[in-house]
Amino acid sequence: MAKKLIVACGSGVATSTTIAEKIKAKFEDDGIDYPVEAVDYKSIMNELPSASIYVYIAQPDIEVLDRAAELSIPVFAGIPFLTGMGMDAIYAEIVEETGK
Amino acid sequence: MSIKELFQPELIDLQVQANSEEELFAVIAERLLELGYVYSDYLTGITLRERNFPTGLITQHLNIALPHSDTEYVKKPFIYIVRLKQPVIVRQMGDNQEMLVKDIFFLGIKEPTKQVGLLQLLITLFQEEAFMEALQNVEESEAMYALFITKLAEMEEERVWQKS
Repeated sequence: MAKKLIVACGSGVATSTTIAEKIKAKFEDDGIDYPVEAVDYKSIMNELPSASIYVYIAQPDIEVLDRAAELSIPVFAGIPFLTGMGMDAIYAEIVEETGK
Repeated sequence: MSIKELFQPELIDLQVQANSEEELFAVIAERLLELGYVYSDYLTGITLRERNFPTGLITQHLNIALPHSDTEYVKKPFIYIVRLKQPVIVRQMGDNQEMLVKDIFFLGIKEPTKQVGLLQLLITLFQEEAFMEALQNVEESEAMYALFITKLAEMEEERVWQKS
């Protein structure tokens, strides 16, 4: 299976890039070698098959969540990386996924 | 353009009167258009984007919103800092829950790769208790401007120290 963490926001303009950079930096600090990419929510259905972890900023539609479940891709909320609240817990779960 | 240059005293208003998000967007869009920062269809752009992808955030210290349109509506990059006299309802990024907000930061992003630093900066600051406390105590536009510029200078100094 492809190994790639994707972060998707409304247009890939700013938020997803910011969070992708933040996760990248944390991975680097923790010595985790795992590709991270910011993507546009509008292209999420095309991106999912090549992803292994999905971090959402824009609330995903049911069909997107169904597709992720079908592909066994774990889905995480990206908002804690913006607000700082609950970030450590989510990050720990993501790190666990990268080791699978 | 550096992040520091995005902050302008003319782009801060801490006494905005609006009864809804819609009204707020109309007021700010008109000013931005007058000042030459956006194109005439910016209001449509920001309204549609916020409807599909809301930008409210309940942070530890303060509820905020970061409305931003797609890049095509922005003529030159900016950040417009608003405080409302009364809070309005917006929806939260990520889960679309309704929330109340008074402090709003309109981000005019023209070149995403170059301006990602602005959002990174804001997110760092929103998690700093001391800064957020100072921000909430500021009443005047000039003081708000000074708060950001001083903070940016401090951060720059820290970076230089870390490098040396």
